[in-house]
Amino acid sequence: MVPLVCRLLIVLASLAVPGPARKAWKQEWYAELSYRQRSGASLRYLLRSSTGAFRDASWLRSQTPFDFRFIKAPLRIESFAVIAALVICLWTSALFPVRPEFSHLDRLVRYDQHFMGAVNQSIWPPLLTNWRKLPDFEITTYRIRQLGPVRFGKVSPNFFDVLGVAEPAGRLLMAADNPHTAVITYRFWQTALHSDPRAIGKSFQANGQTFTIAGRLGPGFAFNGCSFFVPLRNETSLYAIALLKPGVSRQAAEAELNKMTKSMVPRWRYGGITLESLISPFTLTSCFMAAAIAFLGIAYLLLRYRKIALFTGARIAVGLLAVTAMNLATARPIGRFFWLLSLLQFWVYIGLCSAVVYFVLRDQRSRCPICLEHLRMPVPIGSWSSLILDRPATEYMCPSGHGALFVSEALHDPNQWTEFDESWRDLFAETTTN
Amino acid sequence: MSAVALSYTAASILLAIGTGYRYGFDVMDMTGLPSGTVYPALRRLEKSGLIASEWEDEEIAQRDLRPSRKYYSITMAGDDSLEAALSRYPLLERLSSQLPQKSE
Repeated sequence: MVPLVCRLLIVLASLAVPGPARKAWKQEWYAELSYRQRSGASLRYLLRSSTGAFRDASWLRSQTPFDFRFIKAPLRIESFAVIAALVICLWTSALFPVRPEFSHLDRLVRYDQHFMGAVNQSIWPPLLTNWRKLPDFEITTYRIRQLGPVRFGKVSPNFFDVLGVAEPAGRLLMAADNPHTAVITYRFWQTALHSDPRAIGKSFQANGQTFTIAGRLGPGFAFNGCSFFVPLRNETSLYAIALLKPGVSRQAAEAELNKMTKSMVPRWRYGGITLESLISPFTLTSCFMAAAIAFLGIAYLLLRYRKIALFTGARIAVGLLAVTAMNLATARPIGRFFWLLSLLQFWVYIGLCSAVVYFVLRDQRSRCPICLEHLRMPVPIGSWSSLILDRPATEYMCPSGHGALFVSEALHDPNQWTEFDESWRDLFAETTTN
Repeated sequence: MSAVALSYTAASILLAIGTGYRYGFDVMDMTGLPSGTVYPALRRLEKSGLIASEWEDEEIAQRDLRPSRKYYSITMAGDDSLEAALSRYPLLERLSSQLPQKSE
């Protein structure tokens, strides 16, 4: 028996070998390694020899012209959904969440208004006015802006108090400050001001505008990638963060806010308001990822039981679950790509769901409806010169002999499945064993 | 058919097969080349028609309780190319005269 680590290396290397040659290629390597092991070769020798399989495999791959059939496997829905989920999770850094260093983090919530499946986070000013009157909340508002390459935040005077910012150097913003007074982040101080110890009180320029530094935030503070913060003035579109009073649950606060909003907003444009925690949903993401992987296992088990309806249904469910998990994972309150995600998330979700269904159904069409194996042995039949009696088509066989699928090349000519009787299965079984 | 011009490495692998070292790992042992060099070279030689490969008889392998191995043998074109290579690489020619023929 070839050592497990060598087998793993061969299996990994075999992924680069073109599909039709893969089985024989692996057999050759296993046979040689197995023979050598029986002859008393050391593990080190076997390992060193196994690594050569990668070069061998990549040479074989380089010699094979690209064939679309080889990317069929990665496009199968389980792989597709999992890879897509992982890539997008990594892209949004959902697997490595940022937990902002705000003292009141556990009680902070973000305002999300839902309408026709999309999420809008900018708050309607009359609603904000009334929301401030509710006793369970302390509201702060902000707006993210860009000055050339520099991102900064316009914030209301209580912004830092609500978030719970630790002692800054200098002071925080006050209501009486002019719009060119800034509180800078530690990172901005390090990079743009070269850690100038006498920075407070000095001025800096951002895209031609001059700001005076009133204070510097601590090294742990980060908010939407902003470099500095200035007082909020004359902004019509605002975003809100609320600090729940101690003892008030998020659900109760949400219900209270929804009750108030329903009386103000016309029903046709009201889709509900949720208060989302500022803590990154890392645990939730992990749970959904684990659930998605568990469902993948179930889907494969269903494949073994060969129940076509359950199988296809499960594959669609798994795909949709993975996409939903991915969607939830990207719903992060604070992050570098937040603005982009809020714009794209809804459409990406719809697009991926459609892709999942499309790939499952497309893949299902190339399987035997009885045993769910992929149909093989394509045989071109007919000719374009004899369209009436002998239509050009390709016939695919079930490897277990359950039937044949006639796929016509003529437009509007449906595929036709012909089921074989028992005698065919015996014939196919003989072919397989021979 | 004109002889294919071979590199020193390819020629030594072809020489090993011509001498009776028929399996990939035997060729590695004889030439001292690593598997990552020998196997792609074997594929290349086979593609050029200088060697041919065949699977070992299942019965033999089963008798020894192991999977059947793939073995390589030199073709006529391979013989021509080897001959040309030996005249091109005197060191290899000297080696070939000292090399024992491998018995099965």
